Amino acid sequence: MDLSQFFAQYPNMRELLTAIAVIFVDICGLMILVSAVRERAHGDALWTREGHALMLKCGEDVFPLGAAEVVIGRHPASDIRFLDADISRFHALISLSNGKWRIEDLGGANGVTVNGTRITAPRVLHTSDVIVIGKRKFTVIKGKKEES
Amino acid sequence: MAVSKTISHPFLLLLVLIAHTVMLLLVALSFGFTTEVLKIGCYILTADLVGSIVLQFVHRESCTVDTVMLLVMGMSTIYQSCFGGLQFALRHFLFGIGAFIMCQISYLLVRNPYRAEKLKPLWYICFFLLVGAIFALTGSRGIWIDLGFITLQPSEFVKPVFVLIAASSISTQLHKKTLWGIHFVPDNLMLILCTVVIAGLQWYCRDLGSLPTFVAVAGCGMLLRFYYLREKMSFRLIVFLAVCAVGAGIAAWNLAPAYVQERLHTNIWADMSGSGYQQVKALVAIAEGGWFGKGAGNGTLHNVAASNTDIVFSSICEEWGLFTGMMTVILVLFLPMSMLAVPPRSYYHSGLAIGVAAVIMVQMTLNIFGSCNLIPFTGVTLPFISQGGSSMLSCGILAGFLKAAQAPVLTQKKKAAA
Repeated sequence: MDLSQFFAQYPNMRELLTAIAVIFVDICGLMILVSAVRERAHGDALWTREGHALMLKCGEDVFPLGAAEVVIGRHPASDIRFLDADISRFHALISLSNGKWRIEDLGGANGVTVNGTRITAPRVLHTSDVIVIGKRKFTVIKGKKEES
Repeated sequence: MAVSKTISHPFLLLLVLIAHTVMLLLVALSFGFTTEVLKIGCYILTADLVGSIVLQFVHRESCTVDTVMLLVMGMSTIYQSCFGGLQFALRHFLFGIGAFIMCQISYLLVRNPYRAEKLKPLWYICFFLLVGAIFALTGSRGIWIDLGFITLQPSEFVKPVFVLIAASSISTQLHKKTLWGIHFVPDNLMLILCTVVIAGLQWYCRDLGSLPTFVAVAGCGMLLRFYYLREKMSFRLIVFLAVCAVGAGIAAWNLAPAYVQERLHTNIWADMSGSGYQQVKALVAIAEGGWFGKGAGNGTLHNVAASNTDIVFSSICEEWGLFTGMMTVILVLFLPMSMLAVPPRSYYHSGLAIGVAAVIMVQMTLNIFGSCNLIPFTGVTLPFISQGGSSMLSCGILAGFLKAAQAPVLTQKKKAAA
């Protein structure tokens, strides 16, 4: 029997099939959305694991670099905040990209010094580097990578 | 913290395959199991499989963008093959593959935000080269470059470059220069200059339909600059920006050229065979299609100009129904919306993602609302759905930016010990 003849017996078949197609595509879209949400959790875990590869030690305080981009400054929104007068509102930015942590001077009046040299461009951080921001002295130490 | 498992890509692919198969069954319902239907099915399902295999070899932590692209590309090829009778839309299909490849290339190019930001001079060069090409190679009343075997619309390729420019200078906000006592950020001036250049060029080419897209990208880029480094938006600034936006809107409304004024003030129902012809036909087609459509290939809108580009939403609604039309729109919106589920991890990628979202959202708004007579008809394409190679490739590049924002490069590959 020809397909059109077969479906002619069921006039609502096209509507039904259209509804099924829409439902399947909707399910597909929903699963993509669920996948995206789970990717976020996956990405967060990976990021935290990489971020904890390095930490900043300032006196007795230890700051894990767990965020995507870590801002050091006086501003309330800074990730690492100090209320010192010689630290600018947004003083330095530490960011992770391609497995390397970099520090960047955000234009603070007193600058950022790494191992005694004032930086003018983003600089890659290594373990034991000494960063001076205002009167604060930070040492880059190796963090503990969390196991997956 | 344990690294949670993501949903496997083969499972998502299976769903995509099922969705495409059901849609192909609907095509078979209209045309029977003809050779052409089988050909379309073979091409689309093979593309799904090959695309998925290729993705296994491309570095990825995120498969959201790729899966949405596979799903939408297959659907749009089915739609385009059925408008006005069954004929496999090979050209659209090939450009879809091209867009998928461009997505992977642009992803590899910008997934490392540090490296991508350093390429900023290159984006400026690309921008001015493209602008120069448009100025030199297209006429004052045309936007196409005819290469004989293919016609290109360079203004489509300006969009991804403009998004890169808007995103790549956000992090320089604190590096201000001072000239004659005035503090300014050179990159902000460059963004304003690029916006003015593109607006002037579009005015010259009489292609003002894309201007809202560029203005939206520039506006989003500027907003991100105000927010840079987690600043809070002050009330005074919000009022100032709102006044500026209203002022710019009024000025644009009054200073628009005659042909735009005509579209702004036209009553399509009073001039159904003239300037309102396309919109009237598009609205009637949506109404005639109803919730479930007339069936693939049974529409009449293909007789109207730009039925598969500017009023493609109406064509889909007529043949496939309003349910399918809305579902298609929602699927394309998944791309910009996915950044809410997987937020970018750097300022650079935030800028990229917001720029891409602005392009997709504004183009969809202009296309769909224009077809439905809610706003003046502008004649821009519906991303990933409308026919048009330049638009498709440009959308592929933009999708790659989104993918990079969701899956930035985290770690260096360790070199094997000698």
